Order: sequence, then C-alpha cells, then structure tokens
Amino acid sequence: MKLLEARGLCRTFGGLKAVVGVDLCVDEREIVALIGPNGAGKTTCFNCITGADVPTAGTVTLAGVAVRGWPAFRLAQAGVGRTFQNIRLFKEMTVLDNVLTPATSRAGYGWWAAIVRSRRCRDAEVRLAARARALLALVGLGSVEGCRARELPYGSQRRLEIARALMLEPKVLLLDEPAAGMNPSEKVELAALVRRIRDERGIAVLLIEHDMKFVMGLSERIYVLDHGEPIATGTPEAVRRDPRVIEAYLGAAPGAT
Amino acid sequence: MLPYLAAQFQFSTSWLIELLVFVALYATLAASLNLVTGFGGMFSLGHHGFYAVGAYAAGFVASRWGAVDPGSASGLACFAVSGVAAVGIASLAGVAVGLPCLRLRGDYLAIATLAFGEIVRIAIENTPALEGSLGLYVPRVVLDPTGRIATFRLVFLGIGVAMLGVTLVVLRNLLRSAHGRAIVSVREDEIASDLLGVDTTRYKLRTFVLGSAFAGLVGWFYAHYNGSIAPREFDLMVGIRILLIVVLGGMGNLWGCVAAAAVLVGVERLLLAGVFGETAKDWMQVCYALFLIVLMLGGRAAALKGLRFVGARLGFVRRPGTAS
Repeated sequence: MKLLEARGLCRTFGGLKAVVGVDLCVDEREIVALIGPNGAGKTTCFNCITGADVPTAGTVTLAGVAVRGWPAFRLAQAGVGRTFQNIRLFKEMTVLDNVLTPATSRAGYGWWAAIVRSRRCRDAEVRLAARARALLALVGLGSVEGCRARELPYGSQRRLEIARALMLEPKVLLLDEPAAGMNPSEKVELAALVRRIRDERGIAVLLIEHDMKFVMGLSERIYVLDHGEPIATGTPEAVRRDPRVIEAYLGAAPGAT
Repeated sequence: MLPYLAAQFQFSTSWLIELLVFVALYATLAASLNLVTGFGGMFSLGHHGFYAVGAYAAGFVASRWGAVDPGSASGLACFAVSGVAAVGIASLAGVAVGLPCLRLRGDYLAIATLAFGEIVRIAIENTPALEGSLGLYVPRVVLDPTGRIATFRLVFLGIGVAMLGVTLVVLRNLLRSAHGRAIVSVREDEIASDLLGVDTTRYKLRTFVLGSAFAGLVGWFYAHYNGSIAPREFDLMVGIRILLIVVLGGMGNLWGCVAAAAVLVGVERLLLAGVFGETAKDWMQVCYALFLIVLMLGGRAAALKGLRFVGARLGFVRRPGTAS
C-alpha cells in the first residue's frame, strides 16, 4: 500500500490550469522529489495534498484513507507535515514555542487542566518540551531555543521549520524548497539532515527543489512537472537524460519542432 | 503640583478606594480584551457589549430575586447566582457574535464587533423589562452602603482585586500551556497554524468566548457595586477606553494592562473631579481620540513620547533647562 498517493490531481483557477492530471505517490521510507520550472504547479500540488487547497478533481489518499477535502489541520494531525516556500514561522514566538505548537492536539489535556495547571498539564508540558528540545538538537538549533523566531538567520529559520513539522510526528514530510537561499556547505548539511530524518525516524520525504545537484544526490525518484502537467518520472539518472525534461528546462533545440 | 491639586480638590479615603475599584475593573476588562486582541489577534471594538450583557444579566437576576437583607444567606446566593448568569449569558453572546463574525478579519471584524456593542446598548434602551434608558435598579445584596460608604467600597475593592487576580492567573496559565501557544500561533500565521494541526476556527471561537465571559464577569461586579445600571454607561467610549488601555499597556502583555489601567483611570478620575479645571473635562474625549490615533499610527513609543510632550507642557514632567 502506498503511504501517500494522489491520482489525477487537477487544480484550475478560473481559466488557468495550474495542475493537470498529476499522479504521484510516495512509499514508506522513500525520498521523492517534485521538480519543474518556475510556475510548473509544484507548490499547488503541495497545497492540494496538505489541505491548504482543495483540488478541482482527483483523489488523495493517505495510508489508504481518502483524504481529499479534509481540513488542513486534520491532515496535519493524521501525519502530513510540511514546510513553506516563503518561510512561515510564528515570528514573535520563541524558537522552542514554535516547535511546541504543532503538538497541541496531542498535548493530552484540555483548557481546564491548563487553567488550573493540573499535574497532568505540567507533566505533559515537561514531556513535550523534552521532545521539542530533542528535535531542536537534531536540526542544530539547541542553543537558541529562547530566541524569537524572527531573530534567527535565514538558514536557521528553514531548519526550524523542519523541526516544527517533525513535532507533528508525521508519516510523510513535505519540504517546499528547503535549500533555497542556502550556501553550498549548508546544502550538504541539509541533505544529510533529510537523510537522517528518513533513516532514523522512518519518515518519508517529498520535496520540491530547484538545486539539481541537491535533488539528484538525495532523491530516489523524481517527478517532473511543466505547465501543470507531468512530463517525466523515474530515477534521477533516467530523468536527467529525458529529452522532454531537458526541453522544459533549456528550451527546444533549434529546428527540433 | 501636589499643593495645587490639594487646593483644588479634597482627597477622601472613600474617593481613593473608588478609584482603585475602577482600576481593578478596567484592568480586568483590558486583560480579557488583551486575550482576544493582543494574544488572539482578533481586533474587537465591541468588548463593552459583553460587559453590558453581563451587567444586565446580573442586574436582572438581582432585581427579580425578591426582597433580601444585604449580607444574608439569600443575598449572597443572589450575588453568586447573578454572577453565574452574567458569565453564562455573556459567553452565549460571545458564541452568537463569534460564530458569524470570526470569518472576518482585521478592520471588518472591528466594524462588526463595534456594531454589536451598539446593538446591545440600543436593544437595552428599548427593552421595557430592563427599564430601557431609565436604567435598572440593582438591589443591594452584599452590603448596604448607606451610612458606611467607605466600608462598602473597601469590601468591593477586595472583590475587585480578587476578580482581577483570578483573571490574570487564569489567563497566564492558559497562555503558558499548549492551548495558549495555539492561540498565539493563530495570531502569528493562521495558515501555517492550520497546516500544523491547529483547529484555527475552534481556537478563535473559544478565545473570543473566554474573553466575553470575563467581560461578563466584570459586568456582574459593576452592577452590584454601582447599584444601578443604565445603557449610556456602556457606550462606545467604554469600548475605546478598554482598547486604549490594552494598546497602552502592550498588546500581548498582561501586566502592562494593569499599569495602563491605573494610569488611564487615574488621570480620568482626576479630570472628572475637576482637578485640572472645568474645561479639561470637555476635552477628555478629544484627547482619547487623538491618543488612539497616535497609538495606531506611530505605535506605543510615539504615543508615550506624545504623552511626555503634553506632560511637559502641563508641568508634570520637568523639561530640561526649566527650573521649578
């Protein structure tokens, strides 16, 4: 059974066809990439899968359960974690509180327990804080947990988003351009981090990325979109040699049409 | 400045206690609005509406309770039941307003809540059962103030401080919890919050209703303290005053509300007492509006700068180079 599967995914905005008939699946413990030129519909696909947007047509299943049309927070609770292309941290909150927030639904205590600060609430807070600190250590932000998120440098903000998504204990992690704006050594570290997340935690990863070296080195399978349509799929080697992919990125050779 | 004050106005202990009662009252109102606006990010201009609903719910219960001796078991029962009614009905009003209005954001939510505040006031004015614009008489159930006004005020100061204390502890505990983080995350980025597993609609509604419940509690306190309530005591000026305290004290700063309430209520009471002359009273509302505009345009720092400037002109703050 596929962990995450989208079939015939379509999303139109008025007359604009942003995504047309995309089939996409992610197996357990797999790292899959979704690439394509700017405006190809990659982020729209992400939005349809995570419930931020509702596809015009098509189905989305998570571990065999049809989840199309579910509100985003339910999908997140069911195991779909994601980061954002334009960083969306809770800027005025501390780094630690950013990571703690996604655990709200699993805190295990209600408003009353919080108000009287019951033993159950205090125990849960200790447990959650320990988990959050472990995740911050994983992404290398253990020393700045008390800072406000907006005070972090750009690369750290991207890693904080990953730690925050991991707090959901997701089955699949969707990373939207995680390496954007990073320097080459940061990208190497990021690739190692993504691999560790998959190897140690068994979380499948679906990522959007423009850096081809990063994508080719990290992913096991690649889907290529152009103008909202799937044009190629397969291993990094196969995709790299596919003439349609080369055409989409570099344009058709003179006289080829 | 102090000799001038003393010459203009006779301070009495009773007057001072009443000042503190209103500081506690407005600090509680501001803390509850701060939950909604400062922490929850929902800009509400109708908080005085929930305050009015609470006051009238309590006043109605007390006026229909039947004759009681102040301080008797029946009187204290009436005090308690009217409190439950005030909080309960204000919460229901919070649900009724929140369900449709929380789909709106920013200025639109402000306008919708402002309309709610006005609707409450006008509805009360036109309800015979609540004595309309004449005002509702609230029987004394805890203590009869006749002949011992200072004691009466002191007892209510105790109740008011307890009310403020409970509110601050409840809000602080809530905001330190997972649920508090979820409330603030909705303010920070509603979309991200949603995609990270927070049921944003539910959290916004609950936050709004909790804020309304506390405003209702303050209404209950006011009705029993004042002994009568009238619709004009719950007009937009009250809503603006609460908002002003929140903005001055700091959005998302609970303790700041208490300090800001002390400053604002203190200054206003001195003005009303005629300490700064009769014309100053008339200018109070103009000052409020101007102050709010400065706060909104320039933020807190600019407003405090403006206050210092005005203070210097009035002789409160010594300007460099001027001997006094």
